[in-house]
Formats: sequence, C-alpha cells, structure tokens
Amino acid sequence: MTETMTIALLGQPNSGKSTFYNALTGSHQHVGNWPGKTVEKNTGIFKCKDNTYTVTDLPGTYSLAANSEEEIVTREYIAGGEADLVCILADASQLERSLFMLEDFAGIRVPAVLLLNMLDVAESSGKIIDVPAIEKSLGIPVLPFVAADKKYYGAFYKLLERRDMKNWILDSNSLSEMYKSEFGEIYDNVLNTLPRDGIAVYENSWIFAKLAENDMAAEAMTETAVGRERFASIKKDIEKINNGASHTGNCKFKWIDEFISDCVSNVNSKGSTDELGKFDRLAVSKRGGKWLAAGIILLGLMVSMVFAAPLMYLGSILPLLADPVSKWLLDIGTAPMLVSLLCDGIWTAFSFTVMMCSFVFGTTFVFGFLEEIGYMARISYVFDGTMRRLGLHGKAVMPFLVSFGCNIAGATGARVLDTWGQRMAAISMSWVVPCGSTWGVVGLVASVFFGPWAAVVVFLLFAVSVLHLQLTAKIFGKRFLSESDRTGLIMELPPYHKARWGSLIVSSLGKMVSAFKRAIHIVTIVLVIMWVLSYTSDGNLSGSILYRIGSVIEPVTMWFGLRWQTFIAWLASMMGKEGALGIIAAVFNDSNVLHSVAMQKVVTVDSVSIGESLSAALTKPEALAFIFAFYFNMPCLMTMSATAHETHSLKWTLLVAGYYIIVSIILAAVAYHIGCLIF
Amino acid sequence: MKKLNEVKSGKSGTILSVDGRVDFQRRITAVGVTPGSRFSVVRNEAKYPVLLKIRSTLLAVDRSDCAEIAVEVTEND
Ligand SMILES: Nc1nc2c(ncn2[C@@H]2O[C@H](COP(=O)(O)OP(=O)(O)OP(=O)(O)O)[C@@H](O)[C@H]2O)c(=O)[nH]1
Ligand SMILES: [Mg+2]
Repeated sequence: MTETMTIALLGQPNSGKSTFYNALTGSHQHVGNWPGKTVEKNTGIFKCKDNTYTVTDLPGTYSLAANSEEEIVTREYIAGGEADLVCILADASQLERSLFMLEDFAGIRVPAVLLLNMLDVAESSGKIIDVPAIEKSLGIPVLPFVAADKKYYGAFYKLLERRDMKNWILDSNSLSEMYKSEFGEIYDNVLNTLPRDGIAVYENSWIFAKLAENDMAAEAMTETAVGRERFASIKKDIEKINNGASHTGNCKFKWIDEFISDCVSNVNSKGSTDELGKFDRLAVSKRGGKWLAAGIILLGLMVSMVFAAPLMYLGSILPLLADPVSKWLLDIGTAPMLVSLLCDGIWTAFSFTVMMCSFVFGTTFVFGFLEEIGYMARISYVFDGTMRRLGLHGKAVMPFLVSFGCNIAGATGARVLDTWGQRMAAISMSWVVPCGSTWGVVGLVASVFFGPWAAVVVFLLFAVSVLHLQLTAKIFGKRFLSESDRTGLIMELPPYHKARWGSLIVSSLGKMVSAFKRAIHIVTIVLVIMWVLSYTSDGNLSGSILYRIGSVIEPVTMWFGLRWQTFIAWLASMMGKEGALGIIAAVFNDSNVLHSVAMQKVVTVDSVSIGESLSAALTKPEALAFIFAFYFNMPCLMTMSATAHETHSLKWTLLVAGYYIIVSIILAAVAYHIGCLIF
Repeated sequence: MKKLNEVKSGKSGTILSVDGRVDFQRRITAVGVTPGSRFSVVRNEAKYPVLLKIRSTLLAVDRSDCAEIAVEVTEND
C-alpha cells in the first residue's frame, strides 16, 4: 500500500532546514551560513520504501511569534493541519538558544520529532548529549543528526516507518507549570475562561503565553472562539502583565536550562570561551574591520569576474555562429527578412542573455562562498552604521555589495531582510550601485574623451551616487519603511564553517538558470521590437524606422545633451548595460544595430575603433551627458524582473524604475549644461 | 544597574529586564536575551552594534536598542 504524508521542517534560522530539504528532495534551495535565507515555504516530494512524502521547507524563525511575514507563514502552516508530522531542527552546537523554537512549539498538538542537527560541530566542541533522556522528558522521538551527511538519513527514514506517530505530541506539562508559578492567579483565571480543551490544535497554556506576548493573531483567534464578553475579561487579566514576552521567554528558557543541565554534558573542561577567535578579532575590530571587509569584497569581485569568464566567452562566440547559419539559411532559400529576424534578433537575444547570466553565476558563487563560511554576518556588523543612515540595518549590506558584481544577484541578496519594506527599500536603493558591465562602458567612454581626467569623472559619479542614494532614501524611504520596519540590528554571528564546494557550485548554477529563464522572454521581446525598428532590406541604417524616429526626436533629446544615437544607446542600456556599447558601435558606424549588440563582447568592437568613431561624433559635454544618463539609468531588465519577483510588487518595481529613468535624464541635462560652460 | 550599551568590552553580567516595544521584546527574547541570563560583552565600540555572547551565541544588537536592556555587571573580572 502506498500512502502520502506531509512533513514540515521547522527550526530557527541557520539550523540546517534547507540543507536537509535539499538532501531529501534533490532540490537546490539556497543554503548559507547566516540567518534568514529562506523566505517562502518550498514544497517537494521524496520516495522511501514505496511511500511518497511531501516535505515543506519553512522560513527560519527564532520563535512562533507573529512578528514578521515569515513567522506568520510558518505558524499558519503548522497550525493549519496540513502537516502530519513536524520535524523540529535544533542546532546542537548552540542548543540553549535553538531549543527556543521547540519550547514555542510546546502546546501545539501536532505530531513532532526533534532533530539535533550539526551534531558534528557539537561533538567537536566536546558536547555529549544523552538522547534517551531527552526523549523521555519531551515525549517525542529525538534524532542526533548531521544534515550535511547522508550517513544519518537511514535513521530518519526508519522513523518514518513507525506506526505510532499519532502519539508523538510534545509534552508541555513542565512548561505550563512554569507559567503557573510565574503568573499565578492571572494564569489560572485566563485558563478557566478559555475552552477546556484549548482552541483547534492549541493547548490553553500555549494560548495564554501568546496572549501574554500581545500576539494579535492569537487574540483574534481567542476572541472568535470565546466570544466578545469572555474575551474582554481575559484581556483585563492579561493587561495586568508587564513585559509579557520577556516573562514567558524567561519561563521557556528556564525550562531549557533545566533540561540541558540534565541531558547535556561537556567533556571539554574549558567549555566554550567568550573570547573571539583570532580572525574575528580583526574582522569585527573598529579600525581594521571595514578595511578587511572592503579588501575581501574587492578581491571577491575580481574573482567573480574570473568565474564568469568561461560563460562570458561562450556567450561571445555564439554570435559568430550567426553568420554561417544565416548564409546557410539564405542558401536554402529562406526569406531574408526571416533570416535577419532569427539571426539578428532572436539569436542575439539568446547569446546576450547567456553573457549576462555569466555575471550572475560569478557573483552568486563568490558571495555564496563568503556566506557559507559565515563571513557575511561580520560584514553586516561592520557596515551597520552606514546602512542605518539609509533607514536600514546591517543585514541590508548584502544587496549593495553583490550589486557591484551584478544587480540581478543583488536583488536576490535582499532575502535575508526581515520585512517587505526593508527588502523593497534595500533593493531599490541598491539599483544605483554600478554593476561590472556599467564600469566597462563608463571606463571606455570616459577614457576616450577625458584621458587622465577620467578619474575625476569617476569620482564625480561616485559623489553624485551618494546624493542619489540619499534622494532615493528620502523619496521611497517613507513609503517602504514604516515605523515597524525601522528595526535595529539583532543578528547572530554564526560560527565559521567549512565551505561545501559541490553544493555551492550546484546552487550558483541553479540561480543562474532561473535568472536565465526569467530573462530570456523579456530580452527576446525587446530585441525583436528593436529589430523591427532597425530592419532595412539593404542593412543600411539610414533607411530604418529607428533612424527616422531618431532624427525626429533629436531636437528634444538634445535638451539633455543626448544625440539620437546616444539616446538610443541609453534606451538600450535598460535592456542590458553592455548593450549600450554595441548600439554605439553600430549607430555611429551606420551598420546593422542588433548584430553588433552581441558582437561587441567578441572583444571585437575593438575599443580603438569605437573610440575613434565616438570622439569624431560627440563633443565632450555630450559624452559627459551620456555617461551620466547611462550610469544613473535603471539597471537592466533582468534586474527589474528579479526585483519584481523578490518583492512581489510589479507596481513598485515599475515606479522605482520610472524614478531612476527620470533622474538619470535630469542628471544628464545638468552634466551637459555644466559641461558646456567648462569645455 | 546599568544599560547594556554602557557595559565595557570584556565585562560580563546578568540581564535584569528588557523593556521597549513589544515586537522588540519578542525578537530579543527569541534569540535568548531574557532576564536572568548570563552574558559577556565581547565588543562595545561607539557607533557599532554591541557584540555579546549569550547562551553560547555571538549576537550583535543595535546600540540604541541596547538602552532598553537593564543589566547587572559582575565586578570581579
Ligand atoms: N557542520 C554542519 N553544517 C551544517 C549541517 N547542516 C547544515 N549545515 C550548514 O549550516 C548552514 C545553514 O544551513 P541552511 O540549510 O541554510 O539553514 P536553514 O535552516 O535553511 O536556514 P534559513 O533558511 O536561514 O532559516 C549552512 O552553511 C549549511 O551548510 C550539519 O549537520 N553540520
Ligand atoms: Mg533555509
């Protein structure tokens, strides 16, 4: 007989849920050594002995309080009755803290097992855990576990075959005793007013604790269950409690402490020290910390470009195939227009997307490494002050850093933030960070026109970026960051781990593929439109719609210092920043536009010739205008789609994009007119 | 009695009480900062979050939030 069963994975951030989930189901959810990576629940299936199991990876939360979206997702799922079994993961190397989730679960009548994960880490620090004793005091099966090691999975599968699962209800008696002695009469009064058997899966002691913690969802639930009058009397009792969350927390931790002193011993006589390790002493130091972080990030960005190189190369030779293929297609009698659409439009879109994805791979790999070893949390610590000035906190540094490599990966990096508002604010501010390709274009154009003075231009760009950032914070900060989003940093700095290379490569590839899938549609559509606009039967641009549009709009675009060619290049840069170079090369040389969008990376549009055609066609103020318009323009379409995907808000993504576009063109105008005065 | 942000690096002590907004209380409780728990301050520098070791966890907490946490410092070390 086959049966299906649903298993939920519950645990504090960084306890190894996603590692476990990936190993069970063979998927590639994000794993890394710092808290809060999973933000949405993911569901997968696995088979074992003819039975099919559905598992749900839940976002890590420190407790079951309804503080953030993730916590609400988690709690509703657990209480909804969908899961037949809840696997609670606790980090055995930090038991005292990570058992808090177990305690918050006590009083929910859903079958559960406890997995003491990271046993390897706990054992190496000399901890010895008496598993049978724990099982006895909890009343549920307890499994010592290492999610990263397949050896331990046999015992878990065996557990699933047991028939007495219904009885695995976590014993909450000793915890309710604690509440009783802490709150005395109030506790008794409230419990007498609540329905005798609790509400749904919740026992009364659990409901009491949540009411004491001023949990709105629990209040609403109780009110519906007992009616308005009785709820009012409960509320009166509860209001006598001061700092309820801190008191109930105290009870839970007292219980944990007792339990640990009974069941866990430490053979390492020194115990854990409160001293920082050697590396950490530098990593979080007042002076050295920031420099070290900056150095490591810079190195990381360089390395990520190296990792991106193979794919980038692949993307750059793909367009070369277009020539022979188009010849062949023409030979067998395909209509020239169709050949051009396929080879110049669609094929270009494909190779273009491949190239951009190489950046996604490189940056996610390198930053994934920094995350996996645990260094990212240290960077967040040292840059907390900087982020606070933008209304955010240290964890928000991630999208900004990653964006120096690639804004697409940057948008995904915002997942570790707690609320929608923080994610939205961090991503939209991080859009101003120039990605690797932006630097490529800016570097080329600035050095062609300004020679050694290019450095000054770059400095100006940076200075204006800082102002831009402040403007963005001002305009959107209030919208995105309500009072409750402006929380200060509370972050665990996890112990350092060894990197697991295999899973790192697999997960970076996975992210790249998903970015590719998302982008390919959009890029294809946009390029096909561009193709239509620029198509001429003789390949001569001046006969195209694009040229005609260009000459009509130039009088307007010149207000902003943009020739129609640079204007088109600016437009194209929204598709992908490198695109601008191709367009420039094409339009100034009067050859086919689209083909060169892709060709430029073939090291080809060799900079010298672009340089020559550029400096002949543009004046210095015009070049400056283009640099500003280009640099401050919104990042590429792929970043936009990633942002909409991460924030679930197309509306705000579009509004922010509109803001970037408008500001970039205004800055171009300012740069142009000032430039006209200087040169 | 002191506030947590006033405790010097290297000193240890016991948490006395946690005040402030309810959601702050809930969040800080869940990571193990509750009355009665022992802690030691690992780093406390102006303009940086306070780094403390509590319940075998290294924790960074915003400076201004630390002002909501009253502590008793153990003098003899
Ligand atoms: N040494 C060791 N490391 C582990 C084990 N399980 C997980 N890890 C590592 O612990 C870190 C956190 O693992 P994740 O699976 O991302 O944790 P999570 O619970 O999904 O975390 P969030 O999604 O942030 O809530 C990663 O660096 C893993 O490689 C284990 O049993 N032993
Ligand atoms: Mg996870």
